[in-house]
Amino acid sequence: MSSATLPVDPRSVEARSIDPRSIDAPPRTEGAGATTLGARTRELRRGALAMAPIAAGYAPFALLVGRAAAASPEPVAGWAANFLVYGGSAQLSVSQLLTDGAALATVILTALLIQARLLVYSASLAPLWRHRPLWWRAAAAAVVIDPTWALMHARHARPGTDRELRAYFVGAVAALTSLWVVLVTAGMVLVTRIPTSATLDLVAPLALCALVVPQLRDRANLRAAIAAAAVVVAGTGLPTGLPILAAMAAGVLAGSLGSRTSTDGSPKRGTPR
Amino acid sequence: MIAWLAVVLVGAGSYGMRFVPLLLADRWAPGPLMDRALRQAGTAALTALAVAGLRAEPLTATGGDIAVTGAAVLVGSVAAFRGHSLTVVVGAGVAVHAALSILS
Repeated sequence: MSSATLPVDPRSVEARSIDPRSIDAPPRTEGAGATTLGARTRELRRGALAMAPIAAGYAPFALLVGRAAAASPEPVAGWAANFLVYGGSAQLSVSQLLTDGAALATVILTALLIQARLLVYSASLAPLWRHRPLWWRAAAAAVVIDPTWALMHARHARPGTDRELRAYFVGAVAALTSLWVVLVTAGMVLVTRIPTSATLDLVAPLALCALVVPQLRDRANLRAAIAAAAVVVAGTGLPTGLPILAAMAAGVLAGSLGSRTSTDGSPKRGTPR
Repeated sequence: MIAWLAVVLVGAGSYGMRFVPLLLADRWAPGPLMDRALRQAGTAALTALAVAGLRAEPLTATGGDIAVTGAAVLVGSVAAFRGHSLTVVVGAGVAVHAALSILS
């Protein structure tokens, strides 16, 4: 089973035996002054700076989402989806399907299938955030998406107090949301002036590659990625969203095949008894 | 009105998918196998989105387009594997694609 439930004194022998890179390691205790305002401000800035290039990489995609929203029957609704849906692929599908005159049920089902991966993202974040208050989890849930999920997993692998981790998350979300909204709005305003270009179309996939490729050093993740790619290629022609769900299932299956785990299934690192 | 209904319902469904696992975190904790499966599912999802994006026209309209796109992705992936920032990864891939597109 994963994380210990008691706070750990960083000076204890048991604490020193915990690999700080393990996501099961609980956050350090916050004694008096353990997390100063300066430290939290630094983490806020770090989260924003870490997210900024990722968000910038989505710029062409955001402009396309804005262009599609402007062309949809209710552009204001398309803009409001920035906050209500908080997912670029789903936003784009909603705008395009509404423009094409698709039935309401089709629009909703397609978008929710695209968003279904969010279940997996939240489930993987749940162990990291289990000790946080319910109000925080309810607020953070609204902004779980690919880049925030990826950054939070990477950040949790490094040492930090709970307040530092939360500040990092807030900084990352603020950077992503503000840049995304500005770019989508720009796309709506500049709708007739955005050129189509294959090179610009490459930006979003390359940004996703930047998130995925470092994970492929792990053989199980490599198998999962290869299986997922194969399923997507084979699933050409299926309704939008289904290939991605099938790819996740195939990835999990391929990742688990041939894996040799320890008794607790985690990498062999020191843990407190 | 239909558009607003679609956006609100998709938003509500999306939020439910995000919040329910976090809500159940107090009552249910995944075992180590489930932990690994969830992480691999996330990797698979991002890979699927990347590949789906690469298959879109006009990146793969012709054999030449596929080769150019493949070269750009290869360069970007090498940069990512070597630990470079996202800006460098995207910049390198885009630069290669632009250069090869001009030459081809």
